[in-house]
Amino acid sequence: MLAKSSSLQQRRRCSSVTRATRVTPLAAATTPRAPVSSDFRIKNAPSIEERKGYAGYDAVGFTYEEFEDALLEHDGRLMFDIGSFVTGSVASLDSRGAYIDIGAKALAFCPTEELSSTRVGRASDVLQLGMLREFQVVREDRHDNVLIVSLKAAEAKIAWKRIRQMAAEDVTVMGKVSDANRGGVIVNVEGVQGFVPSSHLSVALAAINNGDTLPLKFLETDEIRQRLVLSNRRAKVEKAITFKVGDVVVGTIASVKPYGAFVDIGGVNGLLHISQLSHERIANINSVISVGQQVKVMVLSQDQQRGRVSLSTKKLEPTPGDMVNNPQLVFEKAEMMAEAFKQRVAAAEAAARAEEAKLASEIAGQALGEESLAAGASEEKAEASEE
Amino acid sequence: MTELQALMKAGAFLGHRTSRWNPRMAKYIYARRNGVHILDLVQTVQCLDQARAFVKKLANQGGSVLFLGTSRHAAGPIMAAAARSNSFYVNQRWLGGMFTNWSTMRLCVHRLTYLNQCGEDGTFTTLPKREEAALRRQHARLKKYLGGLCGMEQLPNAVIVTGQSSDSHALAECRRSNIPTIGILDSDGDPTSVDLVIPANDDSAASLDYILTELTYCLSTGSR
Repeated sequence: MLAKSSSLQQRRRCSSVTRATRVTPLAAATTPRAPVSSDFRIKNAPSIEERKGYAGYDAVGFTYEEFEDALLEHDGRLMFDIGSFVTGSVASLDSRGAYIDIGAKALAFCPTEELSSTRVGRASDVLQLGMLREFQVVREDRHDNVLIVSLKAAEAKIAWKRIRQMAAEDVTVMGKVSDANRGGVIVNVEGVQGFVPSSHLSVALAAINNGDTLPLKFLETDEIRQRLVLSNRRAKVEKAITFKVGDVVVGTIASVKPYGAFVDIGGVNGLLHISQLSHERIANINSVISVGQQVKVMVLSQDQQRGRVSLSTKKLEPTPGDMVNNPQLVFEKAEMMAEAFKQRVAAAEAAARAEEAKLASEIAGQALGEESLAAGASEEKAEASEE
Repeated sequence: MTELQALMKAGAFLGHRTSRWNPRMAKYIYARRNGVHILDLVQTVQCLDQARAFVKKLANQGGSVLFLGTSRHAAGPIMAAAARSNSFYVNQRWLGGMFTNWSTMRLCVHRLTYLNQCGEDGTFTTLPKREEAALRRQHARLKKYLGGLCGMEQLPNAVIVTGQSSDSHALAECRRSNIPTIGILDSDGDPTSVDLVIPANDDSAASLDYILTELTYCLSTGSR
């Protein structure tokens, strides 16, 4: 048990810190404090014995002992630790917020800003008189000792629990875009603010407006650091798994970079690397392809984890260098080439399998031979002599 | 539910933080725990009994009571208590001279009564827009501050006050006008400013409701 003075100091320190916006969810304080007999000494106050001597003490329906017992029952109402979760009913609504009855001495106050993670106009939009909700004690107003509570923080606790569950199951969620910056977009998922880096967006950053809903999957969920990172690309890739490795797909060039082009194939952006464009060496990529051009590409590989798809047109060239010289031909002959490619691959695989089988049987034969050697040398000699 | 249970549930035993007390309330405080003063409910009940007796006697003699409470959370319970017992009340800012300058205040109250009647007759609508607007403004202001005194012709025989710390000037006027006061005082109240102290939590509507209901009950039963 902590010494009384140090625990008081600790609590005073807690209450004098005014946290501005985000409150890291602290573990709810649950240790009940046993009353210490030295607590009683009020300066210049008559003792209990004296008070028992007052006229009218017998007329009161209870004794000091019964009062003390009742006090132990209500001990939790004396003090509320910052960070603890309390249930309260809405007592009244104001323009600045709501007054909540949490069983403390006075009503606790929940400012309008603390009512929801999304912007709220008036307190009456979210709460009505008499509603029972869970709040988190955020701070104590030093001036008039009013407890400030937050509905947002309590809901965040539940929201994070849901998010952790969903992340474990790798569920796709819908997030609403609330803001955008150079690095990506800020979304609201289950009431919690998250971030989608632009590298994980399947549509162009410029095309996204506030209020759009995007399908997202979880990348990072760190409740302690209040960090939620999501990926649009991962969610989209799962959706558009209509193609496998070796398929030919029609796509539109979404953007051209010095190292290759991003091709939009059915909602997913795949990378067509410059080395995979053609057998011929390409000095300037812009001379071969342009943004918006329709191409047929072959899927080389796909990485579901990172939502990446690798594409190639090299394999689809009937004669090497056609992509540069005669792209139309490549376009037309794409399916044919892919078929041929598949057949070649199949043949190669078959040949490889045959080789393997032959090798395996040789090894098996040798092993058999060794066994009989070990079994009886005479028999072997007999066989050999027979042969 | 016993009286103790009712008082405990209402949170009447909860006082202010120890740093915010008035040492004169020492004898009404039971203990100091977790940085908060706990009021002595045994004495609360004793004082409440005294108050009940006083109010009953007053009602038998045909006296009237005024309820006074200007804090934000006391406004509701005060108005409800006054309505229950057909008494007058002040739950907005106490205007200077309400008692000591009653002869003038009374005229304002008459004006309020007149404007109330105008509102009911529909006299307002017969007036030109500008005058109507001016009169409505006046009506709203009078209603806000003197609404609880509407119909009062003479000073009350007793005043029941809560939230003493913010109404010291009102209590001074009561003393000046020789009107006895019963005060629901918290650990930061001044017991010398009222004639009869009832120590209880004045920040909780439940606590005020309980004590005011007890007193209005005596007021109503006493007058029968």
